[in-house]
Amino acid sequence: MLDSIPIVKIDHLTKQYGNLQALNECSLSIDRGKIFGLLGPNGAGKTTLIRSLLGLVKPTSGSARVDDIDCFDQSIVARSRMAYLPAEAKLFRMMLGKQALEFFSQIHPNGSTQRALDIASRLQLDLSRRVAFMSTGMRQKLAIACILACRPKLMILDEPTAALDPTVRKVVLTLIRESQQAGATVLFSSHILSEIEEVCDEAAIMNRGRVVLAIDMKTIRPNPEEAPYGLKKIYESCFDCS
Amino acid sequence: MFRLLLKKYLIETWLLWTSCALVILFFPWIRIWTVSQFELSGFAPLIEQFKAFEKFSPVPLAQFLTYEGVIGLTFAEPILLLSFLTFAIARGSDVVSGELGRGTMEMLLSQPITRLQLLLAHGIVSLTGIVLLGGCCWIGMYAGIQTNSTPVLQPKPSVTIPGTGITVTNPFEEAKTAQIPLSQLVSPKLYIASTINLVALGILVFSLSVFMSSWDLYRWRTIGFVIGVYILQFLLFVLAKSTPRTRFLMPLSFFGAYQPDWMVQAIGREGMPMFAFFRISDQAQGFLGTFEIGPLGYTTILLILSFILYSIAAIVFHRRDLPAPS
Repeated sequence: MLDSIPIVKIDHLTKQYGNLQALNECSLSIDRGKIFGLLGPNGAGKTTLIRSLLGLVKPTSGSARVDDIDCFDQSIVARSRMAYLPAEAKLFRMMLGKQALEFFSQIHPNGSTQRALDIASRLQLDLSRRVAFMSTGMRQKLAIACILACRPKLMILDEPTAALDPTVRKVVLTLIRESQQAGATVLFSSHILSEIEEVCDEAAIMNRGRVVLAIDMKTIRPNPEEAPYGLKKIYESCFDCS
Repeated sequence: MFRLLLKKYLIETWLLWTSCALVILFFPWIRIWTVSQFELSGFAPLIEQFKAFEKFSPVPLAQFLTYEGVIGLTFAEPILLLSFLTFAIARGSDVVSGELGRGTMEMLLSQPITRLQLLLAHGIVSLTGIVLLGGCCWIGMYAGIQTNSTPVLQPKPSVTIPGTGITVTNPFEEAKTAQIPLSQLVSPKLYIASTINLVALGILVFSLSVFMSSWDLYRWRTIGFVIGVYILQFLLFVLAKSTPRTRFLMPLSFFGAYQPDWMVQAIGREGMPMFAFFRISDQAQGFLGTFEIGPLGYTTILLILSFILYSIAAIVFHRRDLPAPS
């Protein structure tokens, strides 16, 4: 029954911060098992949209549902089906890498410490080091391991590869695809168009608090060699029009 | 899940707690050792010079010529208060604005935990820390009293003339002092109520910090606010004590309910029960007598204020939007 319902259903969501309208009647739906790319310039409303899904901000009007659960009224149940990786993820500085990994894999109902340790070893992480003494890239890898180990129904990744070197970026993208194969839906927010083009099945472009274009990636990559240019063209044309 | 949150806060707290605990444990012992080096009656002329300032003191200045009174002054020592307040403000300010400032709140609250659980786990660890610091303070005082002795002036040898009942002191003998263990002069139990009062002050400052932190975004600003309020409260207290005309300001300052010195005097000298909420004076003035708040009464006032601040903090934190990390 639930399988026929989109995993994410955002309906006329509006969020006003004083005079600033971060989301303006935004509507979006994401089907299960997809990797969904979220694009848009800075201030387009991507982060507010993600934060609304997590129940961190109260919508001014409209609704956001994950797995048919209201993200604000039943925030805890909704969050138990999600895992979120913020852009520039910050972990607890006083903890050792292993302690942070255990914390996040144990606090989530679907988390597994063993799985987290396996992912950490694939990312070549030194877990004996204190988080405070890790580089930005290492912290990002640690956060990725924490999140991927949760095996949630919906994984929200906000610029997951921004601080990573190209080799690790490749491993992370592989891990994301593996999560998809294990049944997760991925909401992938990024400014790197080639990455969205490479991993996503669908994408949406946001501007001024609403979705201005939804794209099925199959339609823009009939020829893999042209791939990076296809999305870039659409993205640019989108803002020329608006 | 809750156990994990407790563990997280324990990891974050233990280093600060240990350093504060070491100061709070050893400072009272060192202070009592210092006090024990002097024969207090020699300070009587000096105390006489400060008679004009007696109105600022919660107890008669004569109290400072007794060991129990001077040891009781430990609770007004800046080093002890500073250690307590450092722990209370550092932990209280960290709960919301601290986590927001470091950017860890976003990832923490994206987990299936309620904001109340988070606040509660933090509160349990921090309040236990404050209570244990109070325990350290009392243990330090207990150890100080048990391990030190002090010179006490002995009465000159005298002879009672048989049949007359007249006692004559030997004028040729010099007055001698004898080393008496402090434990024979002062009971450590006398300081239990004052220690509880100190803990309550710590809890109040902690709750004030949590309250400020619950709506703020920057920890440095939260700490600044709390210190500002603390200084303002202290100034109100001093002002209220200065003249009868400004006495009405006393209920506006929480220092009015921080009375450890008075508790030492009331319990030690006047025999007030340690856990009395209030006392109706025997020397009744009018039909009902004179109402006086007891040691536990003052402590309860501080705890009620703490509860109110903490509850408001919980409501504010529950309702607020969490801003994105800057």
